[in-house]
Amino acid sequence: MSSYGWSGKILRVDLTTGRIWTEKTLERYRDYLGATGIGYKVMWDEVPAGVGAFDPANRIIFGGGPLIGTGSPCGGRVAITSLLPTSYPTEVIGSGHMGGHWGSELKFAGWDAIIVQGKAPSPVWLAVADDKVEIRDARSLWGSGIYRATAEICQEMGGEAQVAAIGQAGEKLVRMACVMNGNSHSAGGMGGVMGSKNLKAIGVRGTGSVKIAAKKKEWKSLVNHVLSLAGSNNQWVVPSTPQPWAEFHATSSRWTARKGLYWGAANPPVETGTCDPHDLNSIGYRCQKAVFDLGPIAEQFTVRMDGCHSCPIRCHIQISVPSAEKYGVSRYAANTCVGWWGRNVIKNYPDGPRGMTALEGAVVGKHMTDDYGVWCNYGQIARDFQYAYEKGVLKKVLSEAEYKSIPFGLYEKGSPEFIKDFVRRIAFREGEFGFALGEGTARLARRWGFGRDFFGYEWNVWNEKLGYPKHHSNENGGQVGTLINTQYNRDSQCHSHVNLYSCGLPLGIQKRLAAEIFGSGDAIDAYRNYTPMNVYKAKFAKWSLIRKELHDSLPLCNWMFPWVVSPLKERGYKGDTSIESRLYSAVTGDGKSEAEMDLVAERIFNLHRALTIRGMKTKDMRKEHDLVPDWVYDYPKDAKPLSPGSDKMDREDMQRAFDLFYRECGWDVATGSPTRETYRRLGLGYVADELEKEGLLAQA
Amino acid sequence: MTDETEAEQRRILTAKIAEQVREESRSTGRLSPLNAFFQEPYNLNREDAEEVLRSLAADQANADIRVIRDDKRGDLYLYASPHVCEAYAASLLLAKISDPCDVIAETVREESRLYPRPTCSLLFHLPPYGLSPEAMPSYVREMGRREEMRDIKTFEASNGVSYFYSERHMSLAHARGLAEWIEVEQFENQ
Repeated sequence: MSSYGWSGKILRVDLTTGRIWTEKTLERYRDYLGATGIGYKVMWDEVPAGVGAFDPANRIIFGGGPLIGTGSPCGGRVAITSLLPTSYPTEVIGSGHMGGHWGSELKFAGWDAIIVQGKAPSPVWLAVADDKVEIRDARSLWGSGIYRATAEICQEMGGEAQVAAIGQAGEKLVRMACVMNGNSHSAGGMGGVMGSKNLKAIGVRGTGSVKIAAKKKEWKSLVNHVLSLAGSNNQWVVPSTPQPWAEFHATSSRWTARKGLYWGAANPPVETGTCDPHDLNSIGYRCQKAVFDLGPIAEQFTVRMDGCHSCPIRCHIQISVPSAEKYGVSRYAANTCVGWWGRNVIKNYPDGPRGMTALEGAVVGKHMTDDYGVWCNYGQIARDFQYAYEKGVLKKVLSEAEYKSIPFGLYEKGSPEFIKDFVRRIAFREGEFGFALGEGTARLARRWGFGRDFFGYEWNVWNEKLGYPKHHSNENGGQVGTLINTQYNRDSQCHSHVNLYSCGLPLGIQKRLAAEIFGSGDAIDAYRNYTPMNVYKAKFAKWSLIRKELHDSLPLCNWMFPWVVSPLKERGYKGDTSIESRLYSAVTGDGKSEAEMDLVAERIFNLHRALTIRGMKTKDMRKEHDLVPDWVYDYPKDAKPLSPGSDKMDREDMQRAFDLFYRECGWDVATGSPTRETYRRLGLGYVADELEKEGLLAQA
Repeated sequence: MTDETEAEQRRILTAKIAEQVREESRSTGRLSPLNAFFQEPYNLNREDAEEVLRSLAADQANADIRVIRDDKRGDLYLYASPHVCEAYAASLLLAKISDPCDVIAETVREESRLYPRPTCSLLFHLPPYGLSPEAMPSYVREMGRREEMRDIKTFEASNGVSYFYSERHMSLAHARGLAEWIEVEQFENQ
């Protein structure tokens, strides 16, 4: 039977035995779509509780889904699923996500996913050239950074190969290690798992094509429809400055394009311009991300925007900062958002947080972190260090010799030289400093005896047990953002709610559009004027989470989707929340409605929940997992909960929020665990059976 | 001249004017004053102008050409949608005909009501407002003196950037909280 969207094959590699074989995608994984869906299914079936992230028995699953490589707009992301080295005390399920072109190249090579198990006897890399797959010796690459590994592999496979690699951090089993591809696309947290398997990299070269079920004209029409509704990065649908075409605008918008704003280092400079939303050829100009991420100073150093396969948004920045060379790094740097995290290691730059030195810090940081392959835990690692430094913890936990060896003078001066030392120590696990900071927040805080104040507002920690920071939490939607941040085993990486909350449209329009989906405009509040919890917010939270899983499995970029809104006044600013199902149906020929796709996504989301229950050996998720830090209720001190001007939540109100949310999810309200009936409804009866045997199934 | 010839000439003239308005809207984002067409090369008189407006309104091909009126002086301005939208045209007209304090007050009230959000003072230096940064303090003082603008308040975010809000539609606490988010906290959020 022809396979549309999917290639129909999954590559399996056992590095212990060297065995390479193929699995049929649809036979086992059709109901889980791809990427995280396949990842969770593999982890459920093959990796029992008790296996550690660095054990050979652990799997690491790389994959896109049926949409990757088809040209679906914003359909270029790849999930890497495994056990999270940073979660504590048990290494439980998690995924990192990376964009770029690696995932589509894998599809062109004829593979839906790669599942790696075991551990090679010595360092290896995997060469995938269409259906020719080889495990190759990586001893000459081991010990080198990601840049060199990528260059060397491309020498062997050809310049068009895409390489996902780890740096020294991953090799040395630093828990805070990432996987990189394409110079600026990273998947956090999974580098150490690759390192534990002696797997340096996966190079992919694909010369095939992807079959799409829809007729050409129908497909083109659908893609144009999708593009017509695109906003800018994070689906901001209004510009940041008043524009003649725009009824609304918002200062915080990432739609920064305007006359007089340039890619200043292009030759000649490229003006971003007015960017009327009806001009689909100017979508890539809408977000001058350099000025958004790095400040107005970055305009003159911006060469161009960049991004992922088949994405029109172009949210990655390519800059050229000649003065960065004095730190011994290339002037050319590319990344986006928190990918520039190395800059934030320095708290105070001499010319301010968005001055020239900070810009140089961004370049230095990018090269250090992206070459050594050190992850940041959504920026938390910098705060971990700053807390330890400012509170005098480092003086207590480091030997005198080690403390003196660290160039804190550079840190105090705000010199990017410090970033080089900082990242190197972590990548190579140098001393107590390098080792402990690379262990992740949860282990670090315990090892160094951080005080309770570390878990206050200033330091951003969300879940002190699992050790991850907030990521679009109460500050992005009150109870909705709060609930979302409790559901994963790392920072939630969920933008579904943000893409409505932060679209820039007036509240009345947001409420009107929200009402169409959630039943009432009460699902959404004004920013910083939150009202008590209600059932519509529970629906919004659930929908946001299952849409995130849908996006991670299809894939479509959750930093953009879902599109509740659009920039088009003639549509009443309405987007199209059926885009996911329409793209899926057109590509695969498997016609599914929006509701049917949401059911698939709900299945995937609940499988993640079940994996966490099994891994943590608890069914009382409400008490043991779904934690809300005290600062959500206590900060700022002088504000009342749910009062205008703050994001402060109310404890009782949040308990009600959990009740409503769990009910909405079909989970036992007392424990926050899916019930047998919910598992059954989602085709996960086998999951319920196993959990019941382990005493981990909630009784309805 | 026959009726037919006259009608054809009017049609050509209307099309030319429409095209000019479109080009001005598209390339400059500005309003086209009707009285500009009383000058060379069009040399319209009042009657001609009214006829042009009637023709524009009647012809579906020119449905994108809109008219906005300065109610105080009776002047008319043209613009082409979607290059210039109705809201922007209204802001352009407000900036053109009103004194700066009225521009600030009207805009601030609208933003406080609609979004709701406080208004950054830096907005008024940008198109369509174009107010001089040097003159802003004097506008703020003047607004403070006007009874009808008592609802317009001002404060600074912690990074020193000034904001306005209308207490008819927002509280100071809400306005401050939002400004702080926009100016400082959203960047600390990463």
